[in-house]
Amino acid sequence: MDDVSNILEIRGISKSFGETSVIRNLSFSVARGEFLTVLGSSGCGKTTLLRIICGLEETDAGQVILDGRDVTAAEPNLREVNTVFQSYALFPHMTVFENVAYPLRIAKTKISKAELVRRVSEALELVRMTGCERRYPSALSGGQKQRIAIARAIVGRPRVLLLDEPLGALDLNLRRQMQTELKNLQKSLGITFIYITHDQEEALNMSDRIAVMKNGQFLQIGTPAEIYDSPKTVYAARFVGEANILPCTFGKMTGDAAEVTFEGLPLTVRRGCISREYGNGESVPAALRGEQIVISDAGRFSGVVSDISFAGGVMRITFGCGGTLLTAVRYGLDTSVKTGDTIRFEIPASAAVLCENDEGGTA
Amino acid sequence: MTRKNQRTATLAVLPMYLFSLVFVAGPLVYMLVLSFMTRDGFGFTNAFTLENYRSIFNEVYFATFLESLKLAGISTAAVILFGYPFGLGAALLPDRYAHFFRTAQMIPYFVNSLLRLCGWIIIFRANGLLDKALMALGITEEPLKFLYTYPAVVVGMIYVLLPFMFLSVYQVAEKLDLTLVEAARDLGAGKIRAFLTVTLPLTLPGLKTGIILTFIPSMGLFFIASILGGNKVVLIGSLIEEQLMRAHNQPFAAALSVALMLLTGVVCGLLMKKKRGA
Amino acid sequence: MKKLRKRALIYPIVMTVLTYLPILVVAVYSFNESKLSSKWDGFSLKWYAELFRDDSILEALGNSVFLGVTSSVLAAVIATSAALGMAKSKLPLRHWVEKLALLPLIIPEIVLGMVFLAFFSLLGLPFGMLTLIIAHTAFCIPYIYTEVAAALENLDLSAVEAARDLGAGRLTAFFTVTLPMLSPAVISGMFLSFAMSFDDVIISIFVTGVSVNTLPIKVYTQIKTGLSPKINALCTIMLAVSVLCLAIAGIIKKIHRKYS
Repeated sequence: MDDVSNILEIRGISKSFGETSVIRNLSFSVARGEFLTVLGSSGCGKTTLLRIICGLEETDAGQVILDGRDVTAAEPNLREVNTVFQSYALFPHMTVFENVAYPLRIAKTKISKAELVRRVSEALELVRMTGCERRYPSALSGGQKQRIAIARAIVGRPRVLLLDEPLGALDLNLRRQMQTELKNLQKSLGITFIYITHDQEEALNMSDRIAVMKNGQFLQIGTPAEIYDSPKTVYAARFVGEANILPCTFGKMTGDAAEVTFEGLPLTVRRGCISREYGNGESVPAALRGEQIVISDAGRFSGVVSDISFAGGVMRITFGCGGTLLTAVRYGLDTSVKTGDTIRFEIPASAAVLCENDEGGTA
Repeated sequence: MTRKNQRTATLAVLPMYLFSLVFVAGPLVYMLVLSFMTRDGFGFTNAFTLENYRSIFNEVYFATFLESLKLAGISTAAVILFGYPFGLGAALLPDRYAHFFRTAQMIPYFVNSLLRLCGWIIIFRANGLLDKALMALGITEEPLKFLYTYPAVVVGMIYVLLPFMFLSVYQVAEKLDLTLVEAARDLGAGKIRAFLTVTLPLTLPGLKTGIILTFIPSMGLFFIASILGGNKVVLIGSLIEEQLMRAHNQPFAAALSVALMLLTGVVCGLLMKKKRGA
Repeated sequence: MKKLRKRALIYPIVMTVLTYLPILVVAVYSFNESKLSSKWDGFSLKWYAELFRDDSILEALGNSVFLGVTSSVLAAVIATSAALGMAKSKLPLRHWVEKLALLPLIIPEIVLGMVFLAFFSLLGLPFGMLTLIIAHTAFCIPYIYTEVAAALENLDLSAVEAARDLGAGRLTAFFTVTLPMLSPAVISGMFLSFAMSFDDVIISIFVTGVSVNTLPIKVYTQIKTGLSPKINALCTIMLAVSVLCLAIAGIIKKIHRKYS
């Protein structure tokens, strides 16, 4: 019996193009009304995953279950899933109105002209593009095209909306604004969003859950806070938010915490998502967020400042400690620290978290 | 899904596939076979012979070949001389002007070239407009009687073929990045040097297309010679027509055609080859 | 970026004037009362009247239009569907056949005419409209095929995928998205091939029968025996028609450019 609370279930899908394996035995489920972000760098297989869900690509193995129905073999037009394409893919030969009306016009169940106009206007209103009905896509800016692409994808009221890096081509300010709008839109529509991006800021801002994807698999799936606080692997730690990776030597586990040594000094770190045990003396990486480093003369550790940058109210102090480069983040300007200075700092207990080394070498 | 796609695709290609095999490959293969057959009265027999090819080197016919080649060469050179600066110059004008000149050359491209030639008859004929104008200006005393001369044929060839060169050059020159020329000038190249090292190499593809589009038809445009040259200039095209329509010597006409195709093929091949090297 | 220097206009203007001079001369003389083109006897429309009384010219015009329309439509259907299917079909030697179809573009017309004549007589086809249509379709296909193939290469495939994703079946997506996006290329290819067919003398002379005349053939045979003001009038009308066609094509392209 399928779990009815899940709108989408992906069961063990795999996809290869020739010799290259793009998706490897991937399974996950998405709850009704959820905003799930698939976060990964280019080439991790996220676009292929999306194309398999909407039916533009066939999966080599596994199943796609949409609202309890197996749609693995269904044509893309027979799935109640719509996509906002990275390139927008607006029809150049149709006006904005015709673009948005397209899914309604070709639908099997015909609706009246008045109803059609009403629903197109409603969709345009949702994306705040009322008044552009008669323009052609070529006369729109990137942000406007984006909104029309979204309007066109939601007008048919799909069960799941897939968004493939929809904000990738927009400039920073517009991107921030659209993030908020998309989130609000998702709330008001109550449609499940599966959002694909390589931008961790977008992922952290908008999602209910984030799936960090690498080499065709999900490294970790969880709420933004979970992933930020307890990244499962070094890659996830670095990809979501900035993280310092401390090369530590394992001591022992004590419940949810672990005793390790860093630079020869004892340190208490959180166990995080690590379920396995390490041997005494084994080297293990721990992730530490820059804002948790406390620069203070009372600190036990010391380092030499190699670079200071200040941008947008955030100050980044990079310093070498033993063989490791660490970056501390401070809010507001602090002129007391200069490049070349030797500083002392402290890592509070349970600030750092153990994670798996998936990057090779000694992090 | 994929198999169904493939079947549809195959069905879509099939008409052209069959049409080309039957009506393009068929005639060409037949031409080749025909060129080795023996003439027999108004028909021919299947006996294999090289006589048709040998006949091409017969003095009279060979002279025709050379004559055609000469006219095509002269015409193509003249078309380059007039058409290249025209196409380039027009393309580099501001869009509004450039589009005007492009449209102005598109129209002749669409209008029957025969009809366009009629005007030259009126202009060139004895006591026609050219003679009257020249005499009125006091440049000549007597009518030139320009019509039915070799230069008249060349003018006709240039006139008919110029739009092909213009449009080929224009299309490439239109996309020319002028900042490259400016960069060359900035880096110390004089106007001529900048043209030779930047503009010319970048517009060369258009020039080559233009040459191919000019040279190929110029080998076969016998009607210009017959209208403006008064049949004094006998070209390979007229020879093929004569052998086919009046002498009913299909095998020889086929051999002449094969030779003509080889000739144009070699010229185009050389141009394409250089293109790849560039 | 492109600045206008007045001097740069001189040469293009001279060439354009020379391009239109003979056409203008023909047009002016078509209104000449006198039968002789050496003198001007005043304005008259009598040659136009005579033209429309000449059944053989009207018939030739009809043949030319029928031939041009039929062969460019046939070529459009054959070439467009082939261009669409080429990438996915698995027919043997299809890439060779593709080159073969484009061959008429680079074969001298006189050779094409010759091989068609020989081949059609081998097949025993009756010379006339049928043979004209086959020959013209053969040399029209490359014009449309190259245009459509180029347009397909630039076609935004994601728009077609978007249509499928939004609920369109294969056929619906093809007719509502792919074909409309390709139509400027198909239409301009058809205009080009119509012009080529309407223009053709050489190939037509070889493959037409005794009973079917096209306009260019008619003009050619008449010019050879001497120019008449009637031909001038005919030229003028054909020029007007061509300009009109081009204007229509230009408008179509402009509208399409607006949204592409």
